[in-house]
Amino acid sequence: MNSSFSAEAHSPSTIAKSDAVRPSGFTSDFGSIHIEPSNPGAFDAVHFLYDPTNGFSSIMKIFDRDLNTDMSKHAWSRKEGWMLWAPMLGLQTPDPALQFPASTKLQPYVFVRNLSAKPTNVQMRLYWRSASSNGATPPQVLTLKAGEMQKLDVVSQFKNLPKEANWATVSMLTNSGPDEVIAVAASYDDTGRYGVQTPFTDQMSAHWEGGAWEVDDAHNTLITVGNGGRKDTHARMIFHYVTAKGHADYVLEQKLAQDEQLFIDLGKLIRSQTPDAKGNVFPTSITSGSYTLLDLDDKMGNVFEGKVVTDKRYGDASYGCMQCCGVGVHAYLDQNPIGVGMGLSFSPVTVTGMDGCTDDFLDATGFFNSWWTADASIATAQYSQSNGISVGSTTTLAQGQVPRNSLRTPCHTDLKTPQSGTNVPPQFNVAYSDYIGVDWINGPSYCYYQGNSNDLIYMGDAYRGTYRATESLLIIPDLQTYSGFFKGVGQSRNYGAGSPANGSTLSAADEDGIPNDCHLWNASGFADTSSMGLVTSFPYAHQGQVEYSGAAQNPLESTYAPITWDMRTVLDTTNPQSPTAYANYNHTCFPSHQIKVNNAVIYLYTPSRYDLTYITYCLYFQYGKITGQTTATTVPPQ
Amino acid sequence: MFFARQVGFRYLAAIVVALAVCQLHAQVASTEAGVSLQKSFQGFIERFNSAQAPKDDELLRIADGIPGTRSDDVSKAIPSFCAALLRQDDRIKLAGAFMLTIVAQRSDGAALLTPHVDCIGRLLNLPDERLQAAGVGIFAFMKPSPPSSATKSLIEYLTRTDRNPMAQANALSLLLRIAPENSEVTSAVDKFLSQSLSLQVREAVLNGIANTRTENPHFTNILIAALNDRDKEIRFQVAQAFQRMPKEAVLQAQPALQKMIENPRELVDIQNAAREALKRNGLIMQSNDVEKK
Repeated sequence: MNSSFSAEAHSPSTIAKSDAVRPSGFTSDFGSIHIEPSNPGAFDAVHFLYDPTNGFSSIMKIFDRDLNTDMSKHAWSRKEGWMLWAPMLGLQTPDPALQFPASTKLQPYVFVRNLSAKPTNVQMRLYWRSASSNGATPPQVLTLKAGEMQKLDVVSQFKNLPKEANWATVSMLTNSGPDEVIAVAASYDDTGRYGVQTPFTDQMSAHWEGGAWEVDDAHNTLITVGNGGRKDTHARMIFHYVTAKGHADYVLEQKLAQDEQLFIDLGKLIRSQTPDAKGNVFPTSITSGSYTLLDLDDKMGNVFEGKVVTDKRYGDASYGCMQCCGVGVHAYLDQNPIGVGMGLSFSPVTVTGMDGCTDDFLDATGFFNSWWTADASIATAQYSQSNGISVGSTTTLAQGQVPRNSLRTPCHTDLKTPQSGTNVPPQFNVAYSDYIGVDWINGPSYCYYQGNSNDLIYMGDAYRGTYRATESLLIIPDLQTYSGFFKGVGQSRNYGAGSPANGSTLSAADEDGIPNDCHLWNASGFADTSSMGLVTSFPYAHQGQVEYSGAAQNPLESTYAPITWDMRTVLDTTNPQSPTAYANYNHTCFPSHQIKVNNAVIYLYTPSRYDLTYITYCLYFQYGKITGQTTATTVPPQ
Repeated sequence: MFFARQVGFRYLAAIVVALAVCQLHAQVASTEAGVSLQKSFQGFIERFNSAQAPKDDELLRIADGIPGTRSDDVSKAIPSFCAALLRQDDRIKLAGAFMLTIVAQRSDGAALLTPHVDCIGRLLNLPDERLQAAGVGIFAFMKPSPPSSATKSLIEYLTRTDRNPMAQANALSLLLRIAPENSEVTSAVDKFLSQSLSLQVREAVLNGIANTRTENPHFTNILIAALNDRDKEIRFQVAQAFQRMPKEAVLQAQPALQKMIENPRELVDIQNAAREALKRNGLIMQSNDVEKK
């Protein structure tokens, strides 16, 4: 039957169901109510049943239905189909924890309605438990016609359900869309006074809040935590309570396989003084508190919860609902803009959201499985990582289904696509080297070969690609970072009588492999690098400075005559397509000194001479130091 | 015949005269070269008193004359270089030391400078570290060998605790060259090494010992002890140093070098240097090694 009513703005209206249905001549003892507002979202409703004769009353579940929802908004769902769970269906033999009279026998029913305009198959299964065992029934499939409602007698439907079983968690796997099947499980005795009910819900979450518990002489709290999700997970239940010393927690943790449940008799936990995961016990004087449920392994969440609070004074066990906690309002990329060097990767790129229940910031990165950029020639993205390809700017986007909640509506998931600017700024390999730009030079030392004094000569670096000392790194001024600092020295090699063997240049003919004999190759060694240093700085937004300094002493000589340098390269990326560099230099006048930026020479000093007098002048006496500053020149951005 | 003889005599006389004139010219040229070197240097150092001090490269140009100048002429200029060491201005002292260093590098450097050992040794007593180093260097560069008469002043220098440690390390190496068996040298070295020395100075000592190729076991033991130094740079330098030491010294160090090679916590570069030291002395034979000796 259809009937309409109107309600004043901001005013409650009361409709007595018995008054509403009596005129229609209903003979059925069950049914459902469908309320369709002319102004969606403008009203709320609460539904309760009462029987003044035997003192029964109970809040009846009203389900919100979102006509526009689809599976994408229920991203926690299993691939097999839309699934509903009723956590705590009381079975024929009541749990003693319910504190019903011993003779009480419950009659469990499931009320299920297909709201869609087409037939729907429902595969129902009971996961039962008794005081000593637990198990699952084989699945039963029923078909609901379009709009049909059925009342299922659980005992007759599931004949192999053990008689001693006290509770069942009921699952319904449907081939319908979300919100197209609603169901409530209720178990009452034939008087209607004693019983429990549990609505079905598809809600899974990684974070549930708002549960209240009571345990005292008149009350007990029974809770089921189930894994109705997509994979095995770890659940953590945190019971909050307050003592004279302040707030305290009791923590339970358990791994839950798919479809597995954890059953908690809170009164028993308190009375037995069972230690929690941290070894704490409940104070025996505690009678109430709240609790939090977390899925420790999965951000989307796989866990649901059901609770009944028994009241032995009235016989009713009322169910309670926690609030699933999604990610409130906005999720955004923390790095904005993302800066990543070319050929480098930056991670983690993270997404921060706000917990829909606590307003605490939370790491929401795990919700986002798709990552890309607007221009893959500049940067690419993968989960939580940005990869620089070429100098430029683009946008990084992350996309994922994010659970959302409000204070009174169920959780749903929304497709969110936070984005962030991404810059791949110019980067520079800044390399300093000093080298002897001829084939060989005379050294100051001499040795004796066959009774004759011979000046030792040293191998130079010309056409050998070698150096006396070098320092290099990769710097990204706009990111104020550098990496790959390298310092090294070339081998010093001296040669005695007979070298150069070919009369002009040192060659393979000089390499006799016999050390310390003053004939041909004589000795070799590497200088110490410990005095070679680096200072980087980023004094302005688009400027990076690299200062190399050091002293390299030929280990084969016993007089201290080091090559020294103090070279500061200043890089400016104000125009990223045309960066500039200049150098402040201060170095010995021997040998050659060079600074390259991205392989472009920005400074080169070549000595005019290679004779011993000049080398003595430059190195031993450190005369003729070369100092100055180059003009800024454009360098390749790499 | 007479004519011929007369002509011949005249010709001979002309040759004699010509030779005499040539010799006179040569003597004049030689003296001028010596005077020129001396005068140029004097002119250079006097300009330190003027408003515009001379530039370094002017000193270089004067020094460039030394290698090609005759010994006698250089000898005449040396007193002016020594005199510069007595001047108040350290820049002038250093210029004098530089000239003496270039003289020392001549093949006759020792002969020219041995008479001036006291002049050079004076540098070791100056407070300026560069001048101390120059004093050691002049001795060290002297060819064909440094004078043993420098030993005393070098030992005194090495044992002082207020001197330039790097120059002292160089002096240590020099002493091992000119007086390797002198017990006073050994004592002085031990005293020097008992001080707290910087990494660079310790490296200079180790390289200095190795570069002399001393066969004195006392100094080999100093190198062996350094193979266990905490600092990897020291271990690397000393492992390399053994590549330059005589075979007897490497034999003495063989167990320590072998231990270094087999130490799994030692750096590969250092192990390679140690291995090379043994290999060069035939103490590690590998199947693909070709003995070139």
